[in-house]
Amino acid sequence: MARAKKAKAKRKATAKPAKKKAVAKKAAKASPKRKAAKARKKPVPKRAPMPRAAKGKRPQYFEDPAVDKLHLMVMALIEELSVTRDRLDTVERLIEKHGLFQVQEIEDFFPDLKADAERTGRRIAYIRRVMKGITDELENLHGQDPALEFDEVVEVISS
Amino acid sequence: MDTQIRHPMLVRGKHDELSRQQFVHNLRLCLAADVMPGNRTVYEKRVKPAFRKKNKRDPKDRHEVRREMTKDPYYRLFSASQRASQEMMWDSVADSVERELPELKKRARGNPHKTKGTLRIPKNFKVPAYHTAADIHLQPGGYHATPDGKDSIAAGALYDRSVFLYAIGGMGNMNDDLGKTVIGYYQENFPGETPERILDMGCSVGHSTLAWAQAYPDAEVHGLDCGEGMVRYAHARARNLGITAHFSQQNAEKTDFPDNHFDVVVSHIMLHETSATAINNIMRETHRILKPGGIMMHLDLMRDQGMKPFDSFLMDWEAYNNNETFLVRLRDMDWKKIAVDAGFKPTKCKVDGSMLNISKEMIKAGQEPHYSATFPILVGRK
Repeated sequence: MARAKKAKAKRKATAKPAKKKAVAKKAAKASPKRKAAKARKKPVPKRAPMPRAAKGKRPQYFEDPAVDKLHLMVMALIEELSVTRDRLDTVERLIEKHGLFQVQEIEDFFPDLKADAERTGRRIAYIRRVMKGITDELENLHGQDPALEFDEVVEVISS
Repeated sequence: MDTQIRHPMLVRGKHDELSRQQFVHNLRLCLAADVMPGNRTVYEKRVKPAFRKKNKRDPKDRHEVRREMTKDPYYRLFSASQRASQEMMWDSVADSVERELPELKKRARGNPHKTKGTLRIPKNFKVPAYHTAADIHLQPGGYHATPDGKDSIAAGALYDRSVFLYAIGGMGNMNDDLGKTVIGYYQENFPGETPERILDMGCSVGHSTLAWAQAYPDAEVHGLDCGEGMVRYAHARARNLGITAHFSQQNAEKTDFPDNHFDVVVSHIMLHETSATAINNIMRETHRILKPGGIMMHLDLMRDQGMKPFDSFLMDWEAYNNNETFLVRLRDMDWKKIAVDAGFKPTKCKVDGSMLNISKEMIKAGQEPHYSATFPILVGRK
């Protein structure tokens, strides 16, 4: 008996929100003016920032925690390169769709001497910029004066 | 583009956002297909021989394997990359959810198919500590965060898209294959049953719940979850798909359902996201709300028992790297004993198992399944 009562109460509880909605609907139908006023009053919904970090200690995978960070940076770069390639692909397809030129023209493109020289120059500058981190220390080794330690420089600038 | 069905509540995503999601999807595929199998090679060819040389024996259990493997550079890079893919996955979807939330919330208020599905959100619900201690499977904010305030659906919107990417589509285009798997098991092992009331515990966005609602359209199908944003989204998702199901924010340890109420109580990989105390409570609650003769089926991940140390070690990855911490404990537990302690007769409960529905379908079609493992199901009749 008590069980049946409980179940009845539950049904009531679940029925409630449906009832409310019906009332709200009625009101909206009855007065479009009021609805419009309500819509004006409503503040523009602010964009809610999603949480971005998961709670819980992150495992350390490598001896040096800096390697963990570097690995994450590499992963993000791989991702963004993939995204950029997809975007380029979209551009190529839209170009073809709109009849600007055929994508096959890209495949068959052969740079003339001038274009080739410009590209090579840009490519080499780019590679050097990336490799700079490795080759930087050579400059110091080849130089006449040995590189000063930080404290030694502090001494120089303090005098 | 991936094959997830773009139902009205699913987050859409702009070009670069989708591209990032696509990247994560493919990255996880490559990690699973190319990198992951290498761990076994590394273990057999490098880690185990070195261990044997030093200790004059093989590693005795999964914990010992783990201690050795986590020192190996190959496994470290695999693990770090797998972890990164999980983090990148949530982030790639969060961008789209954040942008589209106002639109999604508007859609969530509609009921285009006029379904009779209900939603119940109690006041002052207390999210259990096993949810708040760490964000399960690294979902930022966990199942329970409500960053979008009133009528929050953010957690569900984030989950629905992400879980598809997580499983690399392995749960089907509606993420409902685990539901279909347990339904298949139920129909095979308890033929002729026509359940009137079904409960899906830990339903999150209701992706398995709806499989039950579709298989038994005349039944009253319920889904409960601790996450408010999950059940609110589940309700909206079901309504927009035109499927009737009833969702409520509840803790499976102590529900508000009456005694002897359900013909079927199920869960789909929920148990490993609870705790040592909670699992006993959940089993007692399952027993209480089942009708006499009703069936319980809790599907979860493979137990340690009967597995080779290396295979068992691999199963623990999510526990140590993906905040599914209770999994390690659950895999050592005697599930049947938990059920018996909760009131199920020893002759009426057992740990059985099933292959995934998707794998069975592939075999039927004469194809090689991607994944042929048997998932354990704790089954009992009250």
